[in-house]
Amino acid sequence: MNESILAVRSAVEELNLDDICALVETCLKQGFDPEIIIQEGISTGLETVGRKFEEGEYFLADLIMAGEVVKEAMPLLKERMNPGDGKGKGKVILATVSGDIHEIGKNIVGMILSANGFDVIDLGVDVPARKIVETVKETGARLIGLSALLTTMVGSIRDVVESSRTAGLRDRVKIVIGGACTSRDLCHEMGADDYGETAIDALRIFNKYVASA
Amino acid sequence: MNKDGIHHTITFYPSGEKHTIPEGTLLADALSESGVVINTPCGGKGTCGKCKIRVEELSEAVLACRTVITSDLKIHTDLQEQWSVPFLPAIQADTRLAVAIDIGTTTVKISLVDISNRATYEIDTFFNPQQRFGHDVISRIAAAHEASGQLCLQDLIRKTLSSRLARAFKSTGLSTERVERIVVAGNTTMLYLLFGIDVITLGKYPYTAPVSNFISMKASQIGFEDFPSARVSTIPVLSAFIGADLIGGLTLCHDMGISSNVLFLDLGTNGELFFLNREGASYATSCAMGPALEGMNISWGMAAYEGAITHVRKEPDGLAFDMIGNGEPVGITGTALIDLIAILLDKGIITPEGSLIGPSLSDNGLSRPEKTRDTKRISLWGKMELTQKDIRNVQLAKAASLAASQLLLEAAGCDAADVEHVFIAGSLGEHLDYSNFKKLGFLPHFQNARHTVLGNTSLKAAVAACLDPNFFNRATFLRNKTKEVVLSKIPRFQKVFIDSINFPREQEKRNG
Repeated sequence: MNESILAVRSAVEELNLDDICALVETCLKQGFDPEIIIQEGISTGLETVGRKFEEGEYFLADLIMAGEVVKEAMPLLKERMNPGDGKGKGKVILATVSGDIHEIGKNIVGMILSANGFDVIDLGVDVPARKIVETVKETGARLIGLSALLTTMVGSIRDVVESSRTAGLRDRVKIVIGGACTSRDLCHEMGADDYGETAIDALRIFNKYVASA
Repeated sequence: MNKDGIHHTITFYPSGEKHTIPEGTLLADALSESGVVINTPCGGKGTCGKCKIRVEELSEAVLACRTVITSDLKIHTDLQEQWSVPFLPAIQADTRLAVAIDIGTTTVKISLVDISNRATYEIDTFFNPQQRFGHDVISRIAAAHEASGQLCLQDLIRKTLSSRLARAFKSTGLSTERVERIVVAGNTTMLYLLFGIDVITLGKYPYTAPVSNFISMKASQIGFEDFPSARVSTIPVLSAFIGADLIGGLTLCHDMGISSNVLFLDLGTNGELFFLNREGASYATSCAMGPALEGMNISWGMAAYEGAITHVRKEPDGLAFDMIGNGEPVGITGTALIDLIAILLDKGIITPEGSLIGPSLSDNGLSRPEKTRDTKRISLWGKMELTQKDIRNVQLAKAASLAASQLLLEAAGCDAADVEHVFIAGSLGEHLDYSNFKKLGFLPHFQNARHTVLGNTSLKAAVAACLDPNFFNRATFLRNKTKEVVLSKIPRFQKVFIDSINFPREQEKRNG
């Protein structure tokens, strides 16, 4: 793997906000495709950030910083991409479920997804199922990320699944859950499609859905 | 709660008592449900060994918190009694008696109050049996939502309190019939569960508490049949997360005649704070500190109980510790964790960002941090370790505490420099090393504040109310004029919280 791309990857891994733009410029000047820089530099770098977070080496502020680093770099890459290519990965609706107001995790996911080309529609906190379904109808979004921290509010996840079924659009959307009180078991129990433990997991899962669409 | 499916019979020795228990029930739960005192100070992680029990069918003793019932069992229930009832000086036959109870999320404490002589005696302490449904109030509220969950939690606390009171009184030789007053204090969820008030709204935004004043009632109305002459009263609550424990503490401070700018922090899984200024205006808030300081989400953490390390000190040739009881330590308390992290931070083994790095502490008898399994860990004593994840959990606790203090003072219009006195309450406060607490940045830097550790103010408030029924009036008055600062309604909260996660750097600490 080329040195310059690796330098971009390291800058993401080391949360180097100061140098990221210069390093990305170097790659672009050397003629690398923006898509490759994103794939091999930025996304791979974020995978490492995710792993370090899981191990406890990185913590919340670091994830936020990672989001900032990537956010800095993206405009440089986007402007080199033809308007036709990479038309954006599509819309993702993010919401903290009804009855719950914790949003740090959701906001980190939003930042990481935006920085990676998704069009994030963040509905905020304490969002009723009904509102999520309405937003799917209005925007045509096919990806939904639900965040829940309070054990008491896991039922709200089921409400979103049920409401989308009642509205006849369950098959059209992918519902992914995350948050301290969630788990893979809960995902199955509530009838959601997937579970992500960290923001990087969320990115991986949503990327997978885009690729297979 | 599960009445269907396969059941097994457990038989106790030496009593011969038999109980029918559903298959798959955790042995610790089965025992506590059957009235056997079972202690799980580490929260059921299987690290402290205090729940070891001999089962006839097995050659070795097992950990009740790690064993599930899959067949009939014969169990030897000669477990050690937890806290023994202290010797009480002779209390006169004609003295007036009251009982004060503090129902903590983790620990319940009972004091006997000799009203006539204005004397108090702590007569019992035990782990809240509701812990099997969760260590924190949110998990208990969630459990209460399930089929007959609320009733189950209510019965559990009522029956346990009733039987523990009976036992404590029996050993003092006093008659329960002479108790005229029982005062209960605790956080809102604990009180609701005791009195059978629906907890459902406490667990979801906007966290409303439909009942904030509790009427006095006959003790028999909450199942205390042994107390025919007693009425049960409770200190009022302010909101879902600002309970009788904090309002009791506020009233005590007021009664002490405090007239300076005071920040009062009642530490626990749910941290409650109030700020009382010179003019007598009061502001209160609460924050989710998480169970790190109670040892629950810490790999070798445990409650302050036999075998627990309560303090860690730096010595010339290594680290030394203080513990409860003798023998090998089996876990560390929240206060010892604070000491340990402060020492490692000082030595540069933990960065201000909270990363466990090194260098090796071989000269201090600790090993170099190693990454094994999924997280970095450092060996302490015996099998005990401190992991990177443990440190992160402490950071969450300190970020909550710091952010809440900062925003509370802002709402009250008070600068850090003008805070004159800091009170630390909660049983955690008893073993707390305040300077290490400040070194880790649990509180803003107060240049001019003195500090006092007040201990269990919730119980003290209940005792004060036993001695003076007007305590309730004052508590209600103070509660009514306290302005609640709801952190979730402050848009900046998230940023302040994130900014509070790191431990203070060297120069900030030097000023502390």
